[in-house]
Amino acid sequence: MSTANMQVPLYLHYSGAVKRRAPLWCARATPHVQLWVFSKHLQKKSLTLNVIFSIILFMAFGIKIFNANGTSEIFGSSVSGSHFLASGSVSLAGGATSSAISCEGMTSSNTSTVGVSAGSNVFNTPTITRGTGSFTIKNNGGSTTTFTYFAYRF
Amino acid sequence: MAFGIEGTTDSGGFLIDSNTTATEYLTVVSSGTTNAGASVTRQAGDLVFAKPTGTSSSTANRVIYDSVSSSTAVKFLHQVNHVVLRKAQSTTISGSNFGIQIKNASNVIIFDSRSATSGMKILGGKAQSAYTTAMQPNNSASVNVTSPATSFGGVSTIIHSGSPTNVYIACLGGYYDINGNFQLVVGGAYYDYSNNRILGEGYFDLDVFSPSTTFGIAPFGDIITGELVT
Repeated sequence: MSTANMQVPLYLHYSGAVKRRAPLWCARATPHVQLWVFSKHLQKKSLTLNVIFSIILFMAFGIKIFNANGTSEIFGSSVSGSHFLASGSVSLAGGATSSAISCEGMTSSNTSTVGVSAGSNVFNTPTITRGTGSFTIKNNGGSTTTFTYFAYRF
Repeated sequence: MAFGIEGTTDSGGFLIDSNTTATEYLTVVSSGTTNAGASVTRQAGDLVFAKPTGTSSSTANRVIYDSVSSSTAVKFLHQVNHVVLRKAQSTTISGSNFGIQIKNASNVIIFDSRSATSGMKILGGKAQSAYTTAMQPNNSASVNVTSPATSFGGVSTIIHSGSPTNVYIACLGGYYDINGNFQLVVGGAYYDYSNNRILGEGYFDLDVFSPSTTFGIAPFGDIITGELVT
């Protein structure tokens, strides 16, 4: 990785509210402290922090991290990216169903935010059954097959 | 956990949440070109995206891959541009001691801005039940298909609508075996540049004994599409 690339974290643009969880010891207090930030620049080495608070009501919310040139948002409120949840392989006898495979955040219906795939190197598409916080894989074939799976959030 | 950070997208979608136990941001660690028949190396937990390198080829305008035969590589039938994403805790950081690093309650690094030099913007996803695959024109089985198949058995094959030029598909579950006796493709993607869409491609074509062709193979699972942001 080049030096230039390593400068990426220097250009952190906060264009909205950052939510901070309250400590447990003050759980009865307001659960979130909302900080509205108009702009914030961390400059190389000097780490100069320039924070301007804004009360503009229509400002955007979120975190934005830009590339080295500051031209493209690579992570933030407009570029959510993908998240790893689980991966691995499981060997199943013909007709067998796996034990529940842990998958944080999964529900039976949230296919628009949590996905999973499981395949093998034979002509055999397994049945994936989504649950709450987990899923199972069923071997629909007649012989023992190893399935590799990958679950993600987006 | 006493402290933490939670971020959402403009539309309220998930961005980052330190109050998770096994949800880790996947950052772009490499990108490049993989030639036909070659493989992209991966580590456990890596997610590989790919798209065809060209837009003019009638036979190579597709992503057909094998992600199940090897746990350390994804092999491609045709030349592709690839992007590899990796968990933040598994990325290599050198030098700088500034930026944002987010850990979960178990002290696992789930995001580190020092490794984020580019991003894969997720454009959308399709549940396994919401799409299927079919044989598409100019396939590797040399079966004559005159026009792109947008559905099979009443189920759509459309993975992405809109210009596919800069769109990558996640290589989550795919397999192919092309030989003289049969041709099998599961979980492939056909880039229909003429009609601005990406369609699922999957088939089994048997050439010996009792020649036959099977279309409409169900995909191995859900799929997502993304756009590389550099």
